[in-house]
Amino acid sequence: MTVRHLGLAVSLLLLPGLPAHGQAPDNRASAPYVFLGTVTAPPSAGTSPDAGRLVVVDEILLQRGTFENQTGRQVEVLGVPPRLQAKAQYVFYTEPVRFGQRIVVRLVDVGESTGVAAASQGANAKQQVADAFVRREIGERAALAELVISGTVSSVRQLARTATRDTEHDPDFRVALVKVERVLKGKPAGGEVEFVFAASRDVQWFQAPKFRIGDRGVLFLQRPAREATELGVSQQLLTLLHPSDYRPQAQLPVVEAALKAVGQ
Amino acid sequence: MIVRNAAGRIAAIALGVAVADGISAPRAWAQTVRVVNMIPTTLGNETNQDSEPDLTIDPNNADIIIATAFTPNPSGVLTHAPVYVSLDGGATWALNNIVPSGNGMTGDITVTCSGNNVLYAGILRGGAGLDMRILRGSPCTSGTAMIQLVGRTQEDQPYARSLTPPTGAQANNDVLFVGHNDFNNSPRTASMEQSLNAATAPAPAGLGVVRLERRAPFGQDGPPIRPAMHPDGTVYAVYTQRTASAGNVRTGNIVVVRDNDFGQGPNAYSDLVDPGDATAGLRVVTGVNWIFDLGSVFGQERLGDRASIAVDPNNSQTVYVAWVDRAGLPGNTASVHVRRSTDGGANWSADVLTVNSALSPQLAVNAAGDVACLYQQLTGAGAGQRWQTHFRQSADDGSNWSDLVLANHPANTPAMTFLPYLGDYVGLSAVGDDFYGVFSASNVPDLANFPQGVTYQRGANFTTHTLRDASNNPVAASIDPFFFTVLAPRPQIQIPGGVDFGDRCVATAPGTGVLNVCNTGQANLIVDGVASSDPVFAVSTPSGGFPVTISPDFCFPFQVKFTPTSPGPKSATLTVSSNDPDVPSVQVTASAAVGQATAVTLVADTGTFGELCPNPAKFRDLPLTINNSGSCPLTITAISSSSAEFEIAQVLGFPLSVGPGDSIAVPIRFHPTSEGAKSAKLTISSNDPAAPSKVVTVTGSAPPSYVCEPPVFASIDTAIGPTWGTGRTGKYTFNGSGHVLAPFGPGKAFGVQAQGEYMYYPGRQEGQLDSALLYRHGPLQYGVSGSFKTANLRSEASAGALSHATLSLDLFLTDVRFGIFGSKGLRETDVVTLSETIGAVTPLGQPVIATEQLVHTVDQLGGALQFELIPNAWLDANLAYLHRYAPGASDTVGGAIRLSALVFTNVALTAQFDLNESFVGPNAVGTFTFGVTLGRWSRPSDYANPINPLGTLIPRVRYERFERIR
Repeated sequence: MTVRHLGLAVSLLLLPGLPAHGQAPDNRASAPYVFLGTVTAPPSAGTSPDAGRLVVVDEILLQRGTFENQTGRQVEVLGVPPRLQAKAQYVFYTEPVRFGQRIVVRLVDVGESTGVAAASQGANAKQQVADAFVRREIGERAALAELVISGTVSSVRQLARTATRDTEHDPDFRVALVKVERVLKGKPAGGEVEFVFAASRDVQWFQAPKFRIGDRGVLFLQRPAREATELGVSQQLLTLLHPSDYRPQAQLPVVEAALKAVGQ
Repeated sequence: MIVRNAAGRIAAIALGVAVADGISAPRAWAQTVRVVNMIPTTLGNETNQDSEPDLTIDPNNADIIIATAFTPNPSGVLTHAPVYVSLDGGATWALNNIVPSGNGMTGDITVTCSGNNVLYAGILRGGAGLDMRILRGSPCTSGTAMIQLVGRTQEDQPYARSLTPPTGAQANNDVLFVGHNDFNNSPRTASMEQSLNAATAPAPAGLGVVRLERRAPFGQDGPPIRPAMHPDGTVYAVYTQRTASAGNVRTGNIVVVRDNDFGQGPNAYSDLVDPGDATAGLRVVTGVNWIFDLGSVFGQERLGDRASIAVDPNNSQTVYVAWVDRAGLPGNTASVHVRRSTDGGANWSADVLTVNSALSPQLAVNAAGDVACLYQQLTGAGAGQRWQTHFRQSADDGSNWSDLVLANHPANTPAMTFLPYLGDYVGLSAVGDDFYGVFSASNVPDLANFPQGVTYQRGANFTTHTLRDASNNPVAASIDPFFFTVLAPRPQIQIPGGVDFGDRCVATAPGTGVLNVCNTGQANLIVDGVASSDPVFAVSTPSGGFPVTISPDFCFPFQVKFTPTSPGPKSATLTVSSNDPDVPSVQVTASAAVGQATAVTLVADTGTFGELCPNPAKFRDLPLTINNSGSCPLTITAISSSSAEFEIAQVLGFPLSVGPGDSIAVPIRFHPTSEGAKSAKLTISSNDPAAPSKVVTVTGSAPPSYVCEPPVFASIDTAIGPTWGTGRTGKYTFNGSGHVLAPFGPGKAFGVQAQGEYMYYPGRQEGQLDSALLYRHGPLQYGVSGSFKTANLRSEASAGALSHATLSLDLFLTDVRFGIFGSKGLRETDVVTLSETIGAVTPLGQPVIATEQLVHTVDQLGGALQFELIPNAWLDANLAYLHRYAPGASDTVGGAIRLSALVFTNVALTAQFDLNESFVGPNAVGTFTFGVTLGRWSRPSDYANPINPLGTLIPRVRYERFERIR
């Protein structure tokens, strides 16, 4: 079973620089790379206007994806507003866009750094940022889902398809039957729900969650998209193909909290 | 033989090996191979399975390379997937997240960078099955997300390639071809999405689908549909045509289609017809079968259709095709086959290369016509199986092949994460004579796995064979993309130095230097030309003309001719154009320090010879000094004078040479032959480039003859004639006189006039001597004179002696002389008779009464005139007011008028009328005389003389007689 790692508990502690009500702005919550950084000297004359500002990463508050720890290193930040002072510290909400000898990130938002570096505050800040990101992510997936349930897979069978292709990218659709334990969104027809997942190990499908009997977790189930129906999935079936649409059972509280926070 | 450099990164390889299929390679290869792990430094901790790579090279800059692989967005963002970008020819790489995605990755992805610097991609959108997107972005290295031109589901393996023809109907257009397997058109799924001008138009940018399959395959065609284009418009495509399917075995044909004009028109891709069934699309081979198995059945890799095609850039009719099949071997395996056609695909060779247990052949043909094939071969058995990535190259149409093993690593580790393990294809492209490629392989840093050496950007310990992150933590091995170049044996130009001509002189014979151009490379260096930025440094075309071919380890001495035309430091850039691929243009400097001869002339007295009277025996010499102030010898070839009156020393023999800093003195002789101002231009012909004909002006003057030979007037006059007047002392008169005038002093402007006269009358005789000092100043002549007269009146007891002084002023005009004069007696009186008588006795005594007869000078104030009547005849006249002292006598006038006519040279006849010419009596007296003048006295024809005294009228001492009693 492939799942995404979620190691942070939801916390609504305030992050300095965030709104007082504890809700991170959506754009900040979409930033996969958040760090406390110190702005270096302004770019020298002649530097391309497209060039970013170099910022030393002092402390990483959130890092999704897999790349080298940049703590203590310089990253190039695109879109830094001129008001940022050299040698001053800020919270940078960013999305990495280029990985080379140095990482280039696009600035999503920037906040003041007051108090973030303090040890206790730093931990809270990291938690806040991680929670906001997860909350947004869960909210986005839940919005696309017809059903969000927790349950246990009780059976798995091959999907009978009429439309097959002789292609390396065959999804090898399977149908899992899950016994519903808790409904977080939607109204399942009964206590058991079937959904289609891709068992293929092809590059197009290997990230799609795979299920075996006994697997338990939180499921975000959607009606099949066009590509799925063209590959033989009936519109009557629900699908779980996106890697973010499955979360281990241990993350049920996180999901619940996130759904509550986003009003679903 | 493998030779590594110190860094172990670049290997120069001389190959003479036997290739795997037993064909020997007689040709020695000396390629330069570089293999680079493409994972950048900042992703040193990644463990992704970066398989199925592709690459494209900017047609305008081979340093810019874009590559792809199944690499997830390292940021964790799922909306975009990365491409690899290198700006330095593949030495280093970065990932740009620009490809729209649904899961942070892509499915199949291929890219092509066009001649218009537009990047096109054909992808299966990540996480969405068979969702094909054709994308566009610009420039090729852009960090901005690509935009979608076409999106369609039920598609597989979009394979994008572009061409920007330099000429022809599609010149400078981005002609885009995307081969794809379109299940929307089953069973004829082999299709081509193409546009003749995709660079800038809005979506779909002219893209439209063309069906390649004309037969009825079994169910569908295979996934690989590969285009290959030639700039002349020839477009090929190869695909696998299914004819049967059983289990995991597929049976079918390898089909090549061709269109001769970029795939345009309703019958596109029908230019190659199979004679077997008269259907477009020639079946290169039929009835082959291959394994189509989606399990990791072959060294953790899956098996399926593979095909590749490449066209010779020099000849669109030469085309190679490659595919894999099972070749009758048992089990899950595959063999690579390569065949060749030289007639546009109509006929095909047998296999020119067959490699068993191999996958993913990728073909390319370089500018030299060499074909290369990159493939991955599974070797060994069981746990000892290894994946080897081979680069094969043939320079003889596939008869012989080199074999470079770029990677060789265990096939069972790292473990497969997804399929394909290494990829359904690899990337290979020709860049000139070179090949650039990309493949995926285990990233375990073990040089044993990379026989050609390898360079890692990410942390790697080649001793412990472990990957390390930035914190030196071990990182698990995975599949990484590797970029490689196989650079053709190439020439390497080396020019030891420029050409220094040293010190040279202007206008001397051209100097010749040698520009050695050497070839330190391994292939012939072809020098196309050597251009000079300054024509004074001219590179001589070799006898054999250009281009010049220089063998490895040889130099060619190009002759450089330097023709100095002006002084000063000179330099030019010599640009050597050659086929050195790294430095096709080398610039060196040709230099010289050019001096020159500089003639400086000096003439004493600024070239003014002053005045010199024409005289054959007289001349004046001044030295003309010619100094050479330049730095080169001055060669004087001639000195000429524009005037014969300024003569150059005849003894000179030309050319004369004057060393730098030296001088010579050439005497110039002024020898006037006539009067007047003189000048001449002395022309010094030399090698002084600034003044090859230097002109020196000299001047002088020859005074007029009256300066050089001032006139000395001397004449003797004599005349005789009657007298008239009641007070006359005789009836006739006779006189004779002599005159002399000699100039002297500066400019001969002064003169002394001396004259004497004797006058005879029967009753008296007079003699007078005069001397005058004259000064001529322009038209004026000033005179002061003194006269002494002795008058002997016969009636008196003795002669009287008188004298007076005269001041005169003459004005000389062109034809006339005016003069005024005034005389005053100096010795005014003299007693000529004294008679004494005893007077009557007076108280005081008896007086003696003296009765004296006196002669007394008469003061004069008068004017004179001389002018020419007719040629050789002139008139002199004077008239004076006479102030008398005789008691009771009134002042009167005196004068004379004389006509002179030159009858012979220095002989003139005169006729003169005088009034009171000397003795002033109670009544007017005068003479009328005729005479002759012998000699030369000034006359109107002399008035052109503006310098010299011309004589003046010195009035006779006039006198009177009266009695005085004392």
